Parts: sequence; structure tokens; C-alpha cells
Amino acid sequence: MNIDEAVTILSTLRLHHAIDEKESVGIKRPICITFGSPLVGDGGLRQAIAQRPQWESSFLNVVAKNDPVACYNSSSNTTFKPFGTFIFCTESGGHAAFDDEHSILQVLNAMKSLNAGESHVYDYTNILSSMRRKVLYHGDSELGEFNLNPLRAGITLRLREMEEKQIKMIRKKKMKNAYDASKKLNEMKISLTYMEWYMKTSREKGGYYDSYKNAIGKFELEKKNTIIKHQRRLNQYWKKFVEEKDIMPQKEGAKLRKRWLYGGTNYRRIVEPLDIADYYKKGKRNYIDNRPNHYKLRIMFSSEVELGKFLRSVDVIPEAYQAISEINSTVSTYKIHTTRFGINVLAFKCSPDFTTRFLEGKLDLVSSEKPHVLDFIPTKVISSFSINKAAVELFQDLGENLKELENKHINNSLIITGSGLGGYLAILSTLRLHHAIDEKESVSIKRPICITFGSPLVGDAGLRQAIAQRPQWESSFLNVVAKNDPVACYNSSSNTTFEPFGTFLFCTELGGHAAFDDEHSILQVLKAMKSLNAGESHVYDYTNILSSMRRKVLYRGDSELGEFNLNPLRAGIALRLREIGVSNAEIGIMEEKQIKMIKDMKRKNAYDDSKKLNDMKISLTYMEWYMKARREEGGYYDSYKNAISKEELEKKNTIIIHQRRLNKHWEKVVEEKDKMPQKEGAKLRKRWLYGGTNYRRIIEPLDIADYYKKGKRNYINNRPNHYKLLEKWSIEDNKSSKTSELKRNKAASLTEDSCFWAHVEEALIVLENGGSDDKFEDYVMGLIENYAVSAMFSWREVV
Amino acid sequence: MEVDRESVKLSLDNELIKTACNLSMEAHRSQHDDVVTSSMPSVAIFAFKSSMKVDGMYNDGPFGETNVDLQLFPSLQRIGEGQLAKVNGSILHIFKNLLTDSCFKSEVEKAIKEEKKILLTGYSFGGAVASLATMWMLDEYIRKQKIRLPIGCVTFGCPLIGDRIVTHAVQREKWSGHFTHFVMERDIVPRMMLAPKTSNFLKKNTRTHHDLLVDEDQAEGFFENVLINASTVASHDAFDLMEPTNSIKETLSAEFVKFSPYRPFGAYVFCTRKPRQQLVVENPNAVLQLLFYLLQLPNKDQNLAQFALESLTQHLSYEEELNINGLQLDINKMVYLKHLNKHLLTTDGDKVRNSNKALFELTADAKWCLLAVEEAEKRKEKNMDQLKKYMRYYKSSKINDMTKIIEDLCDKIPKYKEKCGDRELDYYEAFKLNNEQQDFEVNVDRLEQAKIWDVIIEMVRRQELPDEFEVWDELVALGTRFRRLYEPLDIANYYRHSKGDSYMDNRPKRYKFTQRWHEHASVMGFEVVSESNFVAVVEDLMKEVITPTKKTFEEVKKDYECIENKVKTWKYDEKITNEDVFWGEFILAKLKEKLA
Repeated sequence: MNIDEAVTILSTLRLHHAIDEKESVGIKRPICITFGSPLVGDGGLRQAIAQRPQWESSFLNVVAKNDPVACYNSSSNTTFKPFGTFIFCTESGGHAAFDDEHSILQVLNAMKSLNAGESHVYDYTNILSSMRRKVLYHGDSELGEFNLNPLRAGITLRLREMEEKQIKMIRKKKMKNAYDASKKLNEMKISLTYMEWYMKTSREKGGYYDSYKNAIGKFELEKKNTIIKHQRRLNQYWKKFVEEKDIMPQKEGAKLRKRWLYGGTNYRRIVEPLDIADYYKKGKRNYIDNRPNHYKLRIMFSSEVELGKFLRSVDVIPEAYQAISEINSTVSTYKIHTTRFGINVLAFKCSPDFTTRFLEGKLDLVSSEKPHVLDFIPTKVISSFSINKAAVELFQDLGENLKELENKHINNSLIITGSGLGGYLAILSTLRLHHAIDEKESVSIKRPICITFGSPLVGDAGLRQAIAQRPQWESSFLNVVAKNDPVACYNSSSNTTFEPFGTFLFCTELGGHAAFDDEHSILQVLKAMKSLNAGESHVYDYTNILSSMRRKVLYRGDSELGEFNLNPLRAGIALRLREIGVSNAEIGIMEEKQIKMIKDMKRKNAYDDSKKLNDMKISLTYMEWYMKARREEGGYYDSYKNAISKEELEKKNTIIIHQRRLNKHWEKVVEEKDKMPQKEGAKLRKRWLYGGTNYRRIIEPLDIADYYKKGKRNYINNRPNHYKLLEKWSIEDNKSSKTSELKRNKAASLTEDSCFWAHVEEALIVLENGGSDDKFEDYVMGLIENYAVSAMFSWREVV
Repeated sequence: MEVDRESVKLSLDNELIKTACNLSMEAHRSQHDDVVTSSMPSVAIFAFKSSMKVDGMYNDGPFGETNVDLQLFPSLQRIGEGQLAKVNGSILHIFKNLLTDSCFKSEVEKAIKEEKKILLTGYSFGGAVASLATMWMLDEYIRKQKIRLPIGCVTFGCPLIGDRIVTHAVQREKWSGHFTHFVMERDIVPRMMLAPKTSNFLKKNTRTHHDLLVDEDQAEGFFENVLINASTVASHDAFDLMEPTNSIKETLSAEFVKFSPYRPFGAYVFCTRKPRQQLVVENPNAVLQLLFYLLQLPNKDQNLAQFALESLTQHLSYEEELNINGLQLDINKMVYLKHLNKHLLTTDGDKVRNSNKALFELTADAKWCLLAVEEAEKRKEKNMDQLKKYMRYYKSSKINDMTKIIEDLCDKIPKYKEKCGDRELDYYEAFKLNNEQQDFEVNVDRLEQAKIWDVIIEMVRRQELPDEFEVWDELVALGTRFRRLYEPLDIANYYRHSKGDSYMDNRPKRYKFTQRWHEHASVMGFEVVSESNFVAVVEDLMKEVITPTKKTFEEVKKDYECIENKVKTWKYDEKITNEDVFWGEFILAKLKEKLA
């Protein structure tokens, strides 16, 4: 016996998980036997395992009475909990099996006190053989066999309690085993048949919904009563069922799931309308919002299956490859090519010598801080990234002419492409063009698309994130990778720090294809490829593979209904993996990732933006009104700062909510805009900047009031960053816009300098200390001359 | 009065379909006439012919599509955005000539006078003309002239002619049931418009399909081109239905990939040969998927050239099909999308195999696509239900901001108007001054309304609502009321801050859309200036009077008179609820004074 055996338990658990993932009912389960292992987990672990009967039943723990290690974790106030079956044995061959956690803990507890102070490692050989030998002899009596003396003491103490527990467990087990599942299923089918019949017979009388809801005649009511019974029964059954499935997904095989899901769908279609009828009959409203959980079975799809089909049939991919093939050169170079549809292709080629050098493994990752050639890749969100040295060297060699060429095509749609290491050049050139487009600040400029063929991964997680932050950038990268291309998976060994970005289209020589876009799945596939192509190092030609992929459109794919279980998302992932012959990927994790992505997307697409915009307008209206209403009472700054009367305080409290909401919103917006500047066009920026300026001018004075009220000094130096940035941008924007505002001839409704009050406060402090502040006077006079002070600020406050 | 939609559909029986099919073929073979008519006691049948050559379909670019004439087809657009539908330019041209140069229109009107039902029909390209003629009739006679006239359209092997906006409009106006398209399982013609013009096949064979003088090679090239392009379109649409997380397809299809704009509309009857069965599908998205998937070769052993040739010859076999199998439309056999998927998902394989073999043999991914079509439909309905909540029910949870709903907010305005009367101001001027607590409160209400309507409009623009949403009468009525009550406030707010440009250039979409919905529902022209926003025009004129920039004094005066007249007509318009509208007496008087 060894404490290491706790490890055995974990390995068994992992194996179970793997089997569940595989979704087959035929696979045989492992069994885990431990000798004298101390308790390993808490109540949570126990429950997690107990929920899966197939898992729980595979754990057998043999514990000797005198083993001090086995009961090490079992002091009376322990949080460790046992699971599985325990066999306790004594040196004389006595033994007892327990499987409810309560009894086991009791016994272990008793053992603990018995073995206190001991700490040797126990040998189970003898005890096992003496247990076996005991089989040969008759036991004394029922009670006598139970000669684990110290244990009995423990048990008799709570014998009653334990007995009850045992009985309960037995009953429960009985109930579970009573062919219930199949009986229940048929009962439900009977109930459903009743419902169906009711539906059918009510059809002539204006539909079952109405005749259910408005049942009046005696006959009708009687009929309704019978089906209510079935309705309830069905509801109860499915509620429980859905709850279970929700907690423990994919416990059973695909085939089984299909069966119950079909039943579930039928149930939902028939019974839910009646529940709705009941709901509205009770005078309640808004069913959809309060729809019971068990009706909501959401189907998700693997849209990448369709993406793959879309990509295989479009012309641009072979056209791009054609452009690369046309370059005949032994040095790294690029060339513009025009397709028959008039789209320009910028194709890159890398010299064979360099590729050889690369494959010899002489080029590694370099950090972005070194090469200044890459300063077009933004590092505001991530502080740095690493990139393959090959990419930097190649790119540097091409020189400045390339940049001019890129800029020449900035207004047209451009395909940038390259194969192998030429793909590195294509990627960097695309990134530089994206950056140039962002700088230009026009929304109408067309974005380029970058198609690489068999390029190895180029950068690390930092680079991936820098690109993923900008959806318009990320959606322009398509990487076509043939399964047998050894260069493509060169950087994808299992301990690699390289990470993919953009969409990957994997393809096989038979025309199989699959699109992936989450980095996890892509890495999985690349790693599988790597091990397949180990040792190879030739340059791959994509011409044939592209045409066979295209021809595959003409023929039907798999039509087995077996594939078609009711989880199209999972089935779609499996289909894609099968298409490209990758068998050992973790479908479960991929599915989880996908579900998360779909949900995130949904959240992102919720109509929050337009709602939020109006919400902020509402808050600003409140603030404006507060400002306006305080005008006669000496200005809103003072009445906010010095609110004393109950009425004033109340009003202040209402607007504080809005003030906070606005602050929170703008802090976030400013932070985002700062990290990713020039995402939108100039016109859009003007619009939100207008809102931001308004916000700054109304809210900042109140923040200043709060600041000085706390007795602090020198606001200007401690001014929150988002105010600073908002002001800076507003000034920049005014400078750049040609239509400079006409000279004001009436007082602004808001003071232009939102820090005005900070200056006032500072001046007051100086005056109080007996000094004089000429600088301040000049400042105020300047503002007045420009009509930039709101009329509400009168001199009296300053003097 | 609204015309009852059901009463204007022409229900087809087998006899009628048979007559239509025979007449279509007759028209197709005829050397002279563009339209062949046959008058039965109760039904007038018009069979169209199109002697067009195949290349003729591509007069306007690789797919040959062009914008519709709004005069002829006022319904063929997205209402809110005012985005016009596109149809095939050549077919549109033929139809327009037909309308002006032939006896078609007079014959139709004769039939209407005799109170006959009307059936339009056509084979191949003739079917395309018939479809267009049907849409024109539905707009002209049913919507505009409100004649209760049962109209139907049956086509045989008809190519696609309209883009997705046509499909949307047909669904929205509930015209779908008027169209029945018979399509042989593998007929290439209904699919050919999914591919761009190709030089591959058409060079040598410049005659129409019916006398195919093609060899296998040519057929193969043509078939391959059509099928691959059909796949692009089908997967493009299916991808969008599956709640995609990846946006590379968007980038690609914006600039780099040109694919067909055409989409199916109306009910499709797919006729299969082995065994002879029919599959009726009405959902246009499902039809598109089936158009592609049913054309795929069953397996790799199949000879491509032979299959391609068969696909071409199937286009010639409608008469044969009629004689052997009978082209019948059994309403009971109609497969709705829901049932379709139920068939697909059932474990009882034999049942499906017997009911429809073609369906059963579909590949797993095809089935997912059909399932995705249904799910997308469900999502739209769910969104609609969500909106109904905002529009009808009062939600009493205090945490939620959405405690105020449209109608309650609308009801507040008349009260506000009344109170402003005490201040001897109209509510427009009062709101503009924004001096009182109540002005502030109404301003918040205005923004609350904006919050709800902006979401609704955004949902319409993203096409996440059912097609018929924009003609839902309850919505149109509510939107109109909201527009009349709240738009003056938005205008007042705009000129209070006087941001420089005219309000009309920055008019919020929530008012543009609601106005257009109303205008479409009451079958009137689409206008820019309406009873709810003329105040903005008056404000602009006022500015011109004070500091002339664009217009002379005379022009301003003329514009003013024009507005004044318009206001008069609106005031006497019975359909406009007088108390909801703001008539701007004060500001109009002020302008008049300035101009005098």
C-alpha cells in the first residue's frame, strides 16, 4: 500500500471521463481497487462521482483495521468524504463491506483513534490471504462474524441511525432497479398517446388549445380532467429528466440521446400549448419570459461545416494559388497579378534556400520589442508579442518598395497571398495594410484579405490577441493547410508556444476539408498532423488538392442517419474531424468552446448598444435638468457641493445615480477607444465625441466638488484619465475639422473648460491664505472674452 | 377595406394544372404569340412564352440582375429601408414590352370584368415571365385596386428570377401561396441562375435548351459550373442561419466572391423519378438548400457526363411526367418545414423511406441545413414575441428599466399638451424652452420611447424578425401614433440644441421607418415630408428668413405656401387622427408674419 494510490483514483476518473466523451454504451468500464488509501476528496468530489452510477460502482477500497495511513484523513471534524465501496478487514480475517458514506466515516473515525500515533506503512499481503482463508470456515454466528471489535463500538453507538440509513438506501435502490426506466418510458408514451388523441378529437372543435382553455360543457370538462392527469405526469417526468440531462450531459450514447430527445420534442409540441392555456387562463401574462426551463431545448449548429463548404467552392482560393505559382524566382520576391474577375492579387514567394534554413530549425521566436520593422502591429492591449525570426528577416529583406505598392492598392480590394514561408510575408504585409487603413480613418476603404497556403504558425499568444482584438483584422486571415504538408505544421509540436489566428481550412488529397476558427481546435489538428508528417520536409504543391476539394462538391456526402443525432453542433465537429481524418481530438472540449463562442456572439449582438446609448442620454438629461433647476439658486456647483437642506440632499441623491452611471460608461468607452484608436470613421467619432464632451462639461464639475469637499487639493494633477483623454481628443478633433466653428457671440450654455471649478477652488485656497492670484484672474478673463464660460457663473462666487 | 388574402388565392386542382401545363408547352412551341390565352367558363389562363436565348438572361452583368421599377412593383422592396428588389433584367424587359405592346393587359381586364379567376403559367423562361406578371397583378389589382380576384401562377422548370428582397416581399405580403413551381428533381434550369454566365457551354449552343444539341463534354462543364456555384449560394445562406461565430465569410463575400443574388419564392413541388414521388416545400430557405442538394451526384461511381446530360434532358420531361404520373398538387401531401424536420428526425426509417425517398436519402449535412432553417424561423418568432411584450403588456418589475411601455408613454403626451395650454404655449414651443419640470419629464419619456423603438428598428434592419413584421397592422398603427405624438418633440429638441444641419438630414430611423410602414399599409406614395415632420421644414425656412444661405426670399415664400397647402389637406384627411397630430399653428403663424 502506498499513498500514491490516490493517483490511481484520479487516473480512473480520467478514464471514465474519456469513455463518457466517446458516447458509446458498448465500451467497458475500468475498475479501481485501492489498498489503504486515505480519503482523497471532499463532499463535492463524492457527489460528482455519486451522480454517475457507472463511475461510482467502479471504486473498491480495501482498508485494514490497523493501517494508520488509511485513516489518516479521517479525524472527527474532517471534510474529507469517502466514495465507492469500502471493505474493512482485520488481521484475523474478519471483514465487512460498507457503501454509505456515513457508516464508512464512522468506521474510519473509530480506526483513527485506534491507530493514533502510528505511522508505518502497512502490508496487505497477509491480511488478504487470511481474509481468503476465512472463507473456508464457518463463521460463528451472524454477529460473531462481525468481529471488528473496535468498530462495533462505533457502530452500536449509532446503530439505529445507521440502520435507518441503510434501509432507506436499500429502498431507494429497489425503486431505481424496479425496471422503472423502461416502465416509466412506456407510461409516458401512454400519457402522450392520450394527449395526442385529445388533440386530434378537439381538432374539429376549433383546435385543442381553445377547447382546453375554454372547456365548459360537462363532457368537455370530464375529458379535460382525464388529460390533466396525463399532462401533469408528463410535465413531472420531463421536468426531472431535463434537469438531470442538464446537470449530466452526454452520459449516454448518441443513439440513446436521439431517442429521448425525439420523445422530448413530441412532448413539448403537444403539452406545452396546454400549459400556455393554463397560464393565460389564470390571468397571468408574458408566458415566453416565464417559460419553464424544461421546454427550452436549444439546438446549436456547427456553422463551420457550412463555412468549409463555402470556402471549397469559391474561386478566390485557387486564383490566389495560381498567382503564387506564376512566380518563377529563386529569391524571395512578390508580384501583382490580376484575376479574370479583375481583382488584384499580391503574391509572395520565399526562396527555397531560406525555406531549407528554416526547416533546419535555425530560426526561433523573437520578441516584438526588438525589430522596429513591425511597429505597425499594435501593442497597446498586449504589452508585447513574439514572432518567428524568419518572418522578420524575410520582411526586412523586401524593403520599402513593398510599402509603396501596398499603399497604391489601398483603395481597391486586394488579395494578399503566399505559400509556405511566403505566407509569413503575406501576413505581415496584410497587417501593415490594415494599419495604414486604420490610420486613414475611412470606413469605405476596402479591407484586404490574406490567404496563405501551408504557412507554419508565425507568432505566439500575444500576436494572436493583438489581432483578435480587431475583428476586421482577424476576419481577413484564411490559412489553407493540406494534411500532408510537413512545412505547415512545422511549428506545432506539442510543447509549442506558437498560436494560430484567423480561419483555417484543412484539406486532404481525397477532397476532404474542414474549417476551424478557434485556436484550440486548430492546434489540436496541427499537432495531429505534426506527428503524421514527422521526418518529412518537402515543399507541398496545393494545385491538385484544391481542385479535388472543389470537385467534391459534385458528389453527395455521408447520408448515414446514424451520424444525425440531435446535437448538430457536436455532430458537425465530429464530421469535420472525420473529413480530414483526425481521430484523436477532444470533441467534448471543442464543443464546449463552440457553445461558449456562440453564446458570446449572441450576447455581443444583443441590442445593448442602442439601448445603452439612449440610457446615457436619459442620464445626461437628468443631469442637465439638475443643472438648469439650480441656476437661480446660485449655480449647480455650489448647491451640489454644499447641499444641506433635506430637499437638496434628496435631489442630489437621485442624480448621483445618474452621475455614477455616466462615469462608469464613459470610463469604459474612453479606455476602449484609447486602446484601439481609429476603429471607426471620422463622422462616427464626431458623434460620440460630442456626447463625451457634453458629459465632461456637465459631470466633471460635480466630481471636482466631491474632490474638494473631501478636503483634498490640487485636482488638476489628480484628474481622472478619462477626462484628460476626452478633452485631448476633443481639441484634436476641433483642430482637424475644417469647418471651424463661427466665433461665438452668445454665452455658451456650458462652461467650455470643465476644470474651471478646480481653478476656482485653487484660487479660493490661495486667497484664504492671504495671497493673491493674478494668474487666475487672467484665466477667467480669457474665458469670458471667448464667451466660453456659461452665463451661470457669476463673479460673485469668485470674489 | 383590406382584401381578404385567402379569397384571392386560386386553389389548383389537377385538371387545371394539366391544362396549364399543356398550354405552357403550346406557348413554348408557338412561333408567333408571346401569350397564349385559353378561356374556360370560370378561369382565364394565360400561358407565357419566352423565345429568349440563354445568354439573353445576362444582359446586365454576370448574373443579369437589375432593380425593379417601383411604379410597376411598389411592393418589391424592403419597406423601412426603401431598398429595392432586383430581378432579372431581361425577363423584366420582356414583361414590360408585354404590358405595353400586347393584348395581355386588355385581356386581363376583360377577364376581370367577367369575374373570372386568373391563372398565369409558363414553361422554362416563360414561367419566369408568368411569375413577374403575377407579382405585377397582385400589386396592381389586389393591393391597389382592391379587386377580389383569385389569382394563381403555375410554372414548370422555371429559372430563378428574383433576389432575396423579392423573396422577402412575397413572404411579407403573404403571396407565397399564389405561386406553385413544378421542378423535376434534377432539372438544371431552375438552378442555372445560381451560377454566373459561363462561356463554357453557351458558345456553341446558342439555341434554347429544348433542342439540346450538346455533347457530353459541354453538358459536363455547364453542369459542374452550375452545381459548384449553387453550393456556394446554399452554404452561404445556411452559414448565416446557423448563428455563425466567424466573420471571414462576410469579408470574402463583400468584395472577393461574386455569387448569385437569386433566391426562390413561392411553393416548390419537387418531382422525383425513382420512385415517382412529390415533395412540396414552401419555405424559401429550405427550397434553396434542396435545389442544391437534390442535384448532387449520389456517389462517386456515377458518370458525371451522363448525369449532367440527364440533368439537361430532365428539363424536357415535364409533359412526359404529366402524362405518366400526373402533376398533382395534393394539399394533404404538402410538407411544411416543421413536418419536414419531423420526418428527418424520426427514428422510424421505413416510414420516411416510404413517404419520401429523396428526403430520406439526403446527406446528414443537408438535414442540418434544413433543421437550421427551422431554428432560424423559430428565433425570428421568438424575437417577435419579445417585441409584443413591449408593445402590449405592462411589465411591473421595478428592477427592469422597461417598466414604461409604448402606449402608456403615448398617452402622456395629450396630457402634456393640455398642461402646456395653461402656459399659453403649444407643447412644441414649451418643450423647446424646456423650463418646467414637466418638460424635463417628457424629455425623459421621449428617450424611453427612443430606447424601445431603436431596438425594434435595429431588429428589422438586421432581419431578425419574421418577414411579415413590417405589415403587422398593430405595429403600424402604434408606430404611426408614436410618430405623430413624439416626432415634434424630437424636432424641438433638435432645434433647441441647433446643431447646424437640417433635422431632415438627421431624421432618426425610428420615424423614417414608422412613416414608411404607414405609407405602405395605406397604399400611398412614399414621401419625405409628412404630417409629423413638416415642422422641421418650417424651422429650416425660418432660419433661411433670418440668415439666408441657400434660398431666396421668393423661394422661401413658395415653400411656405406649399407647406401650408399640405397641412390643409392633412387636416381634412379623415384617416389622420386629428388630436394626435401637432399642427404647428404658432410657428406657422410666426413664419407667415416674417414673410409678410
